[in-house]
Amino acid sequence: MNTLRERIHAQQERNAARYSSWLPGWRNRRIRRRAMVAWLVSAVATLVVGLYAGDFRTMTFFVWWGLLMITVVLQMLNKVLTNNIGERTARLLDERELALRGRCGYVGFLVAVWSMVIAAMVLASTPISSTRFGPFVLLISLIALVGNVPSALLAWQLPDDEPDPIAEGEHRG
Amino acid sequence: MSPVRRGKELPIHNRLQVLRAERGLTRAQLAEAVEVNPQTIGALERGDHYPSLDLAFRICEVFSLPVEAVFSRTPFQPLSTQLYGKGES
Repeated sequence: MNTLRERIHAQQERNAARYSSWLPGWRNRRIRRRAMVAWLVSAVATLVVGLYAGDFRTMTFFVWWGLLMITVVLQMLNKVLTNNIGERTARLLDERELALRGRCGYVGFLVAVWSMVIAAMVLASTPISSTRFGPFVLLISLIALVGNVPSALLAWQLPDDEPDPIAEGEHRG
Repeated sequence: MSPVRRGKELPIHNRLQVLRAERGLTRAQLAEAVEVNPQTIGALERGDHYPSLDLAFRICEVFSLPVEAVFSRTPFQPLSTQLYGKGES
Protein backbone atom coordinates (compact mmCIF):
# COMPACT_ATOMS: atom_id res chain seq x y z
CA MET A 1 0.00 0.00 0.00
CA ASN A 2 1.26 3.46 -0.89
CA THR A 3 2.15 5.69 2.00
CA LEU A 4 0.98 9.29 2.02
CA ARG A 5 4.54 10.37 1.28
CA GLU A 6 4.78 8.16 -1.80
CA ARG A 7 1.46 9.47 -3.07
CA ILE A 8 2.61 13.07 -2.59
CA HIS A 9 5.84 12.27 -4.46
CA ALA A 10 3.90 10.64 -7.29
CA GLN A 11 1.61 13.67 -7.52
CA GLN A 12 4.62 16.04 -7.55
CA GLU A 13 6.15 14.04 -10.40
CA ARG A 14 2.89 14.10 -12.37
CA ASN A 15 2.57 17.86 -11.86
CA ALA A 16 6.18 18.45 -12.91
CA ALA A 17 5.69 16.35 -16.05
CA ARG A 18 2.48 18.21 -16.88
CA TYR A 19 3.92 21.72 -16.37
CA SER A 20 7.06 20.90 -18.35
CA SER A 21 4.94 20.37 -21.47
CA TRP A 22 3.13 23.73 -21.21
CA LEU A 23 3.98 26.53 -23.68
CA PRO A 24 6.78 24.71 -25.52
CA GLY A 25 7.22 27.55 -28.04
CA TRP A 26 7.80 30.07 -25.24
CA ARG A 27 10.66 28.21 -23.57
CA ASN A 28 13.49 30.32 -24.90
CA ARG A 29 15.65 33.02 -23.37
CA ARG A 30 14.02 35.91 -25.25
CA ILE A 31 10.48 35.15 -24.04
CA ARG A 32 11.64 34.14 -20.56
CA ARG A 33 13.40 37.50 -20.17
CA ARG A 34 10.39 39.42 -21.49
CA ALA A 35 8.13 37.61 -19.04
CA MET A 36 10.57 38.42 -16.25
CA VAL A 37 10.67 42.14 -17.11
CA ALA A 38 6.86 42.24 -17.41
CA TRP A 39 6.57 40.63 -13.97
CA LEU A 40 9.08 43.08 -12.45
CA VAL A 41 7.27 46.13 -13.87
CA SER A 42 3.93 44.79 -12.69
CA ALA A 43 5.22 43.85 -9.21
CA VAL A 44 6.86 47.26 -8.68
CA ALA A 45 3.71 49.03 -9.92
CA THR A 46 1.67 46.90 -7.47
CA LEU A 47 3.95 47.97 -4.64
CA VAL A 48 3.91 51.67 -5.57
CA VAL A 49 0.11 51.77 -6.02
CA GLY A 50 -0.19 49.72 -2.81
CA LEU A 51 1.48 52.51 -0.85
CA TYR A 52 -1.41 54.79 -1.83
CA ALA A 53 -4.22 52.21 -1.83
CA GLY A 54 -5.41 53.10 1.67
CA ASP A 55 -9.05 52.24 2.23
CA PHE A 56 -10.47 49.25 0.33
CA ARG A 57 -13.42 51.35 -0.92
CA THR A 58 -11.24 53.69 -2.96
CA MET A 59 -10.56 53.44 -6.69
CA THR A 60 -6.83 53.12 -6.01
CA PHE A 61 -7.51 49.90 -4.12
CA PHE A 62 -9.22 48.34 -7.15
CA VAL A 63 -6.33 49.44 -9.38
CA TRP A 64 -3.97 47.80 -6.86
CA TRP A 65 -6.07 44.62 -6.86
CA GLY A 66 -6.00 44.46 -10.68
CA LEU A 67 -2.23 44.96 -10.74
CA LEU A 68 -1.83 42.27 -8.10
CA MET A 69 -3.77 39.79 -10.23
CA ILE A 70 -1.62 40.62 -13.28
CA THR A 71 1.51 40.15 -11.14
CA VAL A 72 0.29 36.76 -9.92
CA VAL A 73 -0.41 35.60 -13.49
CA LEU A 74 3.04 36.77 -14.66
CA GLN A 75 4.59 35.07 -11.62
CA MET A 76 2.97 31.77 -12.66
CA LEU A 77 4.22 32.30 -16.21
CA ASN A 78 7.78 32.79 -14.88
CA LYS A 79 7.52 29.56 -12.91
CA VAL A 80 6.20 27.58 -15.89
CA LEU A 81 8.90 28.92 -18.24
CA THR A 82 11.67 28.03 -15.76
CA ASN A 83 10.21 24.59 -14.98
CA ASN A 84 9.70 25.90 -11.46
CA ILE A 85 13.34 25.08 -10.66
CA GLY A 86 13.36 27.88 -8.09
CA GLU A 87 10.71 26.25 -5.92
CA ARG A 88 10.50 22.62 -6.92
CA THR A 89 11.18 19.94 -4.33
CA ALA A 90 14.84 18.80 -4.30
CA ARG A 91 13.83 15.24 -5.15
CA LEU A 92 12.78 16.35 -8.65
CA LEU A 93 15.92 18.37 -9.39
CA ASP A 94 19.32 17.21 -10.60
CA GLU A 95 22.60 18.55 -9.25
CA ARG A 96 22.85 21.50 -11.68
CA GLU A 97 19.27 22.55 -10.97
CA LEU A 98 19.88 22.23 -7.23
CA ALA A 99 22.91 24.50 -7.55
CA LEU A 100 20.84 27.02 -9.55
CA ARG A 101 18.05 26.86 -6.98
CA GLY A 102 20.58 27.40 -4.18
CA ARG A 103 22.14 30.45 -5.85
CA CYS A 104 18.85 32.11 -6.81
CA GLY A 105 17.20 31.17 -3.51
CA TYR A 106 20.04 32.82 -1.61
CA VAL A 107 19.58 36.07 -3.55
CA GLY A 108 15.82 35.77 -2.96
CA PHE A 109 16.45 35.41 0.77
CA LEU A 110 18.64 38.54 0.85
CA VAL A 111 16.06 40.51 -1.14
CA ALA A 112 13.34 39.33 1.28
CA VAL A 113 15.31 40.39 4.36
CA TRP A 114 16.13 43.84 3.00
CA SER A 115 12.57 44.34 1.72
CA MET A 116 11.27 43.66 5.22
CA VAL A 117 13.73 46.18 6.66
CA ILE A 118 12.59 48.82 4.15
CA ALA A 119 8.92 47.94 4.73
CA ALA A 120 9.39 48.32 8.49
CA MET A 121 10.96 51.74 7.94
CA VAL A 122 8.13 52.80 5.62
CA LEU A 123 5.50 51.64 8.11
CA ALA A 124 7.23 53.44 10.94
CA SER A 125 7.71 56.74 9.14
CA THR A 126 4.57 57.30 7.03
CA PRO A 127 0.89 57.73 7.78
CA ILE A 128 0.30 54.33 6.12
CA SER A 129 0.67 52.75 9.57
CA SER A 130 -2.31 54.72 10.84
CA THR A 131 -4.75 52.73 8.68
CA ARG A 132 -5.43 49.07 9.31
CA PHE A 133 -5.53 48.29 5.62
CA GLY A 134 -2.27 49.99 4.61
CA PRO A 135 0.15 47.46 6.16
CA PHE A 136 -1.89 44.57 4.73
CA VAL A 137 -1.70 45.99 1.20
CA LEU A 138 2.00 46.75 1.61
CA LEU A 139 2.79 43.24 2.86
CA ILE A 140 0.79 41.51 0.09
CA SER A 141 2.55 43.71 -2.51
CA LEU A 142 5.92 42.83 -1.01
CA ILE A 143 5.13 39.12 -0.99
CA ALA A 144 4.16 39.38 -4.69
CA LEU A 145 7.51 41.05 -5.39
CA VAL A 146 9.83 39.05 -3.14
CA GLY A 147 8.23 35.62 -3.54
CA ASN A 148 9.13 35.37 -7.19
CA VAL A 149 12.73 36.60 -7.05
CA PRO A 150 14.31 33.11 -7.47
CA SER A 151 12.14 32.29 -10.51
CA ALA A 152 12.74 35.75 -11.98
CA LEU A 153 16.51 35.37 -11.67
CA LEU A 154 16.30 31.96 -13.30
CA ALA A 155 14.12 33.35 -16.08
CA TRP A 156 16.83 35.91 -16.78
CA GLN A 157 19.77 33.49 -16.53
CA LEU A 158 18.67 30.24 -18.11
CA PRO A 159 20.24 29.79 -21.55
CA ASP A 160 18.52 28.68 -24.72
CA ASP A 161 18.57 24.97 -25.40
CA GLU A 162 21.16 24.26 -28.06
CA PRO A 163 19.98 22.05 -30.91
CA ASP A 164 21.25 18.49 -30.66
CA PRO A 165 22.51 17.41 -34.13
CA ILE A 166 22.21 13.73 -33.16
CA ALA A 167 18.56 14.07 -32.17
CA GLU A 168 17.86 16.09 -35.34
CA GLY A 169 19.54 13.40 -37.42
CA GLU A 170 17.34 10.77 -35.77
CA HIS A 171 14.20 12.74 -36.61
CA ARG A 172 15.26 13.14 -40.24
CA GLY A 173 16.41 9.57 -40.60
CA MET B 1 34.17 28.11 -3.80
CA SER B 2 32.04 26.29 -6.33
CA PRO B 3 33.91 24.31 -8.98
CA VAL B 4 32.52 26.39 -11.85
CA ARG B 5 33.86 29.60 -10.22
CA ARG B 6 37.32 28.08 -10.61
CA GLY B 7 36.55 27.41 -14.26
CA LYS B 8 39.16 29.78 -15.65
CA GLU B 9 41.96 28.68 -13.35
CA LEU B 10 41.14 25.00 -13.15
CA PRO B 11 38.87 24.07 -16.03
CA ILE B 12 37.47 20.59 -16.49
CA HIS B 13 37.31 19.61 -20.15
CA ASN B 14 35.18 16.73 -21.33
CA ARG B 15 34.60 14.60 -24.39
CA LEU B 16 30.87 14.18 -23.98
CA GLN B 17 29.88 15.56 -27.38
CA VAL B 18 32.39 13.38 -29.26
CA LEU B 19 31.45 10.27 -27.29
CA ARG B 20 27.74 10.87 -27.80
CA ALA B 21 28.25 11.33 -31.52
CA GLU B 22 30.36 8.19 -31.71
CA ARG B 23 27.67 6.11 -29.97
CA GLY B 24 24.72 7.89 -31.58
CA LEU B 25 23.37 8.95 -28.20
CA THR B 26 21.11 11.98 -28.05
CA ARG B 27 21.35 14.40 -25.15
CA ALA B 28 17.99 13.17 -23.91
CA GLN B 29 19.10 9.52 -24.03
CA LEU B 30 22.30 10.22 -22.10
CA ALA B 31 20.35 12.36 -19.65
CA GLU B 32 17.91 9.53 -19.05
CA ALA B 33 20.74 7.03 -18.55
CA VAL B 34 22.40 9.18 -15.87
CA GLU B 35 19.14 10.50 -14.41
CA VAL B 36 19.55 14.22 -15.06
CA ASN B 37 17.69 16.66 -17.29
CA PRO B 38 18.83 17.03 -20.92
CA GLN B 39 19.64 20.71 -20.22
CA THR B 40 22.22 19.53 -17.70
CA ILE B 41 24.00 17.47 -20.37
CA GLY B 42 24.01 20.61 -22.56
CA ALA B 43 25.48 22.63 -19.66
CA LEU B 44 28.19 20.00 -19.13
CA GLU B 45 29.09 20.07 -22.83
CA ARG B 46 29.29 23.87 -22.84
CA GLY B 47 31.37 23.87 -19.65
CA ASP B 48 28.67 25.81 -17.77
CA HIS B 49 28.48 23.08 -15.15
CA TYR B 50 31.11 20.75 -13.77
CA PRO B 51 29.76 17.37 -12.68
CA SER B 52 29.93 15.99 -9.18
CA LEU B 53 32.11 12.92 -8.77
CA ASP B 54 28.97 10.80 -8.63
CA LEU B 55 27.62 12.16 -11.93
CA ALA B 56 31.05 11.86 -13.56
CA PHE B 57 31.19 8.17 -12.60
CA ARG B 58 27.65 7.58 -13.87
CA ILE B 59 28.53 9.18 -17.22
CA CYS B 60 31.71 7.11 -17.50
CA GLU B 61 29.72 3.97 -16.76
CA VAL B 62 27.42 4.69 -19.73
CA PHE B 63 30.43 4.91 -22.05
CA SER B 64 32.32 2.10 -20.23
CA LEU B 65 35.36 4.35 -20.02
CA PRO B 66 37.61 5.46 -17.16
CA VAL B 67 37.11 8.99 -15.81
CA GLU B 68 40.35 10.27 -17.37
CA ALA B 69 39.09 9.26 -20.82
CA VAL B 70 36.02 11.47 -20.45
CA PHE B 71 37.15 14.34 -18.18
CA SER B 72 40.48 16.12 -18.05
CA ARG B 73 42.13 19.26 -16.68
CA THR B 74 43.88 19.80 -20.01
CA PRO B 75 42.15 20.12 -23.40
CA PHE B 76 41.69 16.81 -25.18
CA GLN B 77 43.50 16.05 -28.41
CA PRO B 78 41.36 14.67 -31.23
CA LEU B 79 40.74 10.95 -30.72
CA SER B 80 42.39 10.09 -34.05
CA THR B 81 45.57 11.91 -33.01
CA GLN B 82 45.61 10.07 -29.71
CA LEU B 83 44.98 6.71 -31.35
CA TYR B 84 47.43 6.93 -34.22
CA GLY B 85 49.89 9.41 -32.76
CA LYS B 86 51.90 12.07 -34.54
CA GLY B 87 55.24 11.55 -36.16
CA GLU B 88 55.49 7.91 -35.13
CA SER B 89 57.77 5.91 -37.33
